[in-house]
Amino acid sequence: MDDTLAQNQRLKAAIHFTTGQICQTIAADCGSEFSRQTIAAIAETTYRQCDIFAKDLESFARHAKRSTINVDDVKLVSRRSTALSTYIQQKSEELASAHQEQKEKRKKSSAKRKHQETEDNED
Amino acid sequence: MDSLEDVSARLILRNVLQTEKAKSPVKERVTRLQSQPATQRRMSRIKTGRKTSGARSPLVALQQKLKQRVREGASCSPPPTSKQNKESTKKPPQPLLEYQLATPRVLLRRIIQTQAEAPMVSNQPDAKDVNPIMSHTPCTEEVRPLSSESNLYYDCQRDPEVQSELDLSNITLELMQPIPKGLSRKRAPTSISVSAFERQLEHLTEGVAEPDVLEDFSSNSSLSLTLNTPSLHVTAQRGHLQRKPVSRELVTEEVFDKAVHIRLQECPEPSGILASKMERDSSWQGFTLGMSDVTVPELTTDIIMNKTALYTQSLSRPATVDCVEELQTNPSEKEELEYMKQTTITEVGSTYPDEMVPETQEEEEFVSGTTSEITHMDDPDHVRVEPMSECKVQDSGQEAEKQQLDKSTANSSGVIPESLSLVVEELQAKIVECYDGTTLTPAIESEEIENGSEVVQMARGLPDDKEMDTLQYPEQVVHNSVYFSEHGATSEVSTKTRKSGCMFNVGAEKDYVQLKCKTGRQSDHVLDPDSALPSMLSERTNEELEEENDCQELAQQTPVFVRQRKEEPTIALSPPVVNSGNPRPVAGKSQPHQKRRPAVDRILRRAILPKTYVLTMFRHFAKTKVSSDVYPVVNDILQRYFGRVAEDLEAFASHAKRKTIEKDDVELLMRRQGFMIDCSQVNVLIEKFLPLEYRKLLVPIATSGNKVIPKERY
Repeated sequence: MDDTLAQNQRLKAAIHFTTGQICQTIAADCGSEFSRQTIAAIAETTYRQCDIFAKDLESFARHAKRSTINVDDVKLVSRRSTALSTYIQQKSEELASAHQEQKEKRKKSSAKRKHQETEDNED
Repeated sequence: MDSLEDVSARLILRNVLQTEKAKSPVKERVTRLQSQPATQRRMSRIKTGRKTSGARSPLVALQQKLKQRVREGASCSPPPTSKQNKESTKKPPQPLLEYQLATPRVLLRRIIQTQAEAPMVSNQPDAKDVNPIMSHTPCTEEVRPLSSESNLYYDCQRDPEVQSELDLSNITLELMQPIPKGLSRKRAPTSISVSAFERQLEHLTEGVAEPDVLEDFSSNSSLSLTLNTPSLHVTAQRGHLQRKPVSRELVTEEVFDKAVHIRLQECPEPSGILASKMERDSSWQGFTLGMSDVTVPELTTDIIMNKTALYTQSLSRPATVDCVEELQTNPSEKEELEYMKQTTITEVGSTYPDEMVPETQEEEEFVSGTTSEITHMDDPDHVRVEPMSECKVQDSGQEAEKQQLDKSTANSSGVIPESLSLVVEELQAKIVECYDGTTLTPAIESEEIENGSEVVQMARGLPDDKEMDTLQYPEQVVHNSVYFSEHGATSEVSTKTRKSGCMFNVGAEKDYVQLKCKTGRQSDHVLDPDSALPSMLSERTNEELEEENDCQELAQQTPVFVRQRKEEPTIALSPPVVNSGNPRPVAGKSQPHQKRRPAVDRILRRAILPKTYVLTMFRHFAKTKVSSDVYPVVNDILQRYFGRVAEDLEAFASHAKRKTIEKDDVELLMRRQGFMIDCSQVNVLIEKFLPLEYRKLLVPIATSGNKVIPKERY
């Protein structure tokens, strides 16, 4: 219990710090400031929203009769926020394409290796 | 301030002050202080005052009461005590005293004098004095205040008939307190001891039945008991400080008025109401009352006015909005509009000139109101008018575009069509936005739409209709819906369908208009959190679909229209075609036109749920009264809510790679919405939400264990 509490505290502190950093960058862009209470509120909201997200993701995965959370689950969670969903969609596509590229590379390299091996064998 | 007419605190105060001004400062202060709370109390308590007309001061009434009491006390046969003799002896001088000074203090004094009792054996030497209160002798000082008070007690007890005046005696008792204080000031400070008090009690009990006295002591406002003894202690302790009021400031009329003024000034705007109220009420409660009355109507109006706020999309498109606003605000443009419309009419050579003319007039009116009215699109009251107006504007816009593009006819000016086209685009975009949440039928299955199919048929029956055809509206919608459905069938979750939805121009070649529409859609996608997912329409009511259909029709007019125009450039503006170009989204032919009209009206006006039903439900859950004005708002909300529910369910089903919504999807939705959480019991939910019949079925299942919900399903 204490460990979890301590861990929670650390988590919250980390989130708070990160949100503070983000807010500072945004404030620098906008030329205005964020008050401490604002940052604290945002951090708390983020923390709770993360909790909600996690539960939703888990329930979505279970709903799809899977035991692992998938990209599809994430997309479903984010569908409410249009900007976020488009962003995630893009990222997923990029990732998918990157994966494919990697696969192709691996195939090529493996094919090359096989070819070399056969050549070696021949040799 | 001077408008007080009724007996108010101010009036009383004034009277009291006026009557009391003849006194010495000490006496004045005392009496004033006494009278201040006393008057307020008297106002509430005086029931038996003989003469309590409005103008009489309570002080006078009190005096009269006391006189009455004195007379009664004199008349009644007191218990045989030596005190009585003293009373009789005192009486002759008393009448003189009675009417000398009309202060409560003096009156009390007289009461005490007239009704000195046996227990006051120790007071006999005092009783001899004219003023037992005034003559404190050191030996009996401690007893005297007690005796005077106990006299009063005895009085109360001895005069059971004067029960009604008990309150008066209470008042006098209260008045009594400062009197001994004041008196004691002149005398040596009294040292009150419990023993003395007890002695008094004993004395009292000698002559009178003990329980009665005791009861009196207790019943006669333990108030008085508590007040007396501590006060005496206080007087003993404070000594010379007794006379001074405890942080009580002199209340004069001026002070009162000043305070009122200050209060009024402190209050904000509604003070005008409040001031009058306050003066009426003579209490500060008027503030809250006034405030509440003022603010409540504002809320309802705000709710109604803020309907526009629901459509946040308007914020994201300042450019086009400005255009529209410019258009609206510029009367010259309106005139141009009218002129243009007239020109179009003349060009067209309408067979329905009647319809056109009033429509154009309405158009002008509605152009100004479109942007605001668009937000009321879902409102059944406005819906009928809205799409009409939009159609009209769009029609004019289309006409303008057509003129612009074809340049076949003489345009009034290039500016007008452009502005109109902008308006059209704006409207279309807005319409799109409005209904974006309800997913402009990306996956409409025509069979599920009764009227929609009607539209489809009618539209399909007019493939040859031309650009100017507003007939095209339904057709275009159908086209688009078909396209959408195609896309919807193939698309994955959300974004793809959205993109396909954005693809107005499936087959369309026209440029900026479509692009604008697309951008409009995309932009409002940014804003609108609802995604245009292909929706499983099993959950959706036909009315919604019909409305969506209509909106799509209206929204997608231009691009498809443009497309068709490109496809069939030869089909120039033939008069009959143009005739059908009514602002109404109806088929070109008169018959289908007329058929369509009531259908359209029905579609646009239809509510999500019956009005009485909705209002009954709403009132059931609302704690306060609900007016029937809320119905359009609630209708709108319901529409959105059901739309979102349907979208979510569809998303969940597709997430599970299914095409049918299952109960699992519903469960998931309820979980997300917070209706069901891991620890909440299903039977609780059942009892909460389901009717009794289901309860019988489900509760035994639910109570069997709540860990894994799906397993419990039968």
